[in-house]
Amino acid sequence: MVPAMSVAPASTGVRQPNPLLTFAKSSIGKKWIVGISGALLIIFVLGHLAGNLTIYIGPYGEGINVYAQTLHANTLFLWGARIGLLVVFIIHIFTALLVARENYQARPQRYAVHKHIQSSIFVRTMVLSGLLILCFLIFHVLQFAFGINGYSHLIDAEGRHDVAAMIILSFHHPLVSGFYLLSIIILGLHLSHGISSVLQTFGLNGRKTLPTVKIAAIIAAWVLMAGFASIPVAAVTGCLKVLPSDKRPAAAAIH
Amino acid sequence: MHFHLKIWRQENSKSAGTFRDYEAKDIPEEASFLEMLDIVNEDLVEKGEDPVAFDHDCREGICGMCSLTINGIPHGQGRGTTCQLYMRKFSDGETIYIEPFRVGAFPLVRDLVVDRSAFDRVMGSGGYTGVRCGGAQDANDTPIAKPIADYAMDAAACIGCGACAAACPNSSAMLFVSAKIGQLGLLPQGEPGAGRRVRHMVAQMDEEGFGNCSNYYECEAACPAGISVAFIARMNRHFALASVRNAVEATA
Repeated sequence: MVPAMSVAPASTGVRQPNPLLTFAKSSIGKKWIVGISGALLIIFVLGHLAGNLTIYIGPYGEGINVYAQTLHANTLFLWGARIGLLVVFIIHIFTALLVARENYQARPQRYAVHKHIQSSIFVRTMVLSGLLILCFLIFHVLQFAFGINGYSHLIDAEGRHDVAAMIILSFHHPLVSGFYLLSIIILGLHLSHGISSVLQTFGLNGRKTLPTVKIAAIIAAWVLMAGFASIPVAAVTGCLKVLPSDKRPAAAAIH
Repeated sequence: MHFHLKIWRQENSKSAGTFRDYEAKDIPEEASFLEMLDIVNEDLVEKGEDPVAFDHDCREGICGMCSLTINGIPHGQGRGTTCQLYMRKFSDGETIYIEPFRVGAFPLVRDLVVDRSAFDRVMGSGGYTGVRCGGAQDANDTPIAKPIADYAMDAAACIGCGACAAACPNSSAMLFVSAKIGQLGLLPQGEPGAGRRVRHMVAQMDEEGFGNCSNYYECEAACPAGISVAFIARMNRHFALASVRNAVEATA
């Protein structure tokens, strides 16, 4: 079927296009772009989780109030991170959708019967899970970053913005915590394939490491997700307590 | 044995195709899938109908010529090529769907035959290897470590049948291309020009209209030669390194 090596293409003398642009436009180049942006987003998820877990510090989750105050004090860092994150998100989503379109076009005539031999449904629905995560993120940013939740006016005993109370009280609504948990599961499914895919795309995978990387990535994804999910669970079950109103400065009692 | 076949019939790439029903009667269970089709075709010829066109050559599982997507799996259930698939693997009276490899870069020729010369063009784009012509050199002139030789041989097991692209939900040919890049680049003879080769072969692969890899690893599961997707990881790495090196050299 495949012949021996044939004649090398002669150099044409035509000005070559920018090599980096050629790389970015190539199939593997796009994989790298999705991979690098994905890796940056995984780093963000790690950082975000570490920040979230500060809610377990202090009897009324004061840790996260201190964390939020520190974060907001560093305006340059905060806005740098926000803008950087937005750019990375756009690159990740745009490139992934571009690749998905090309992939769809690569098979103009579909199979009447097509069995998948080893890939799971979750692996084959990365675009769908990604877009669902995007929907969640829009809601999530509006709810907590823009503070559209009804509890963003609360002040803790030290006069800080009471982020812990805002989160815990929001999660007391079953719809909010239910939607959050569902979104975390979808993110977990996305990352279960995403983490190992990043390593494969960067070529940091060999025959011996392949099965281990696959399982380790799934475990890592679900450990992360367990960290996120623990907060609404702890809020609903009462493990995380809200600062009682009599301990707040007078003007900012819970209405 | 007896089978109900639903076979894709299509006059040529321009015409519309459709499934047609055929009955495969009195098939010995030791018949290979291709031999079963031979029996069906003999029957069709006797009736004065057009026989079903399908690709085949060595029928020993080594040439990579046979194709067919059988019940939704390239080369059918189990490892190996269609010619090495035996009817005893099916149950008596089973309905079997037979489709061509459906890959945009493999245009349909007729019925179940597709044109896989896109693979040949990818190979051609790789250019020369540094193999010496003329008198054979001494066997041990170029020392190659055993694990490297084995690894290159594993890549070279690829028979270029196209099942990887046919099985891939994205019609990606990356298992094939990475196997060829691995086979040539792992050995010292292929070392000169390895960077240029990976860049050109990937460019040609894209040019042919194959899809991208989403790490589903369906290709590996369908590959009759058992090529590992670790070669795709290797290609990803080498392609990026070669592109960066090329970019640096272009500025120099």
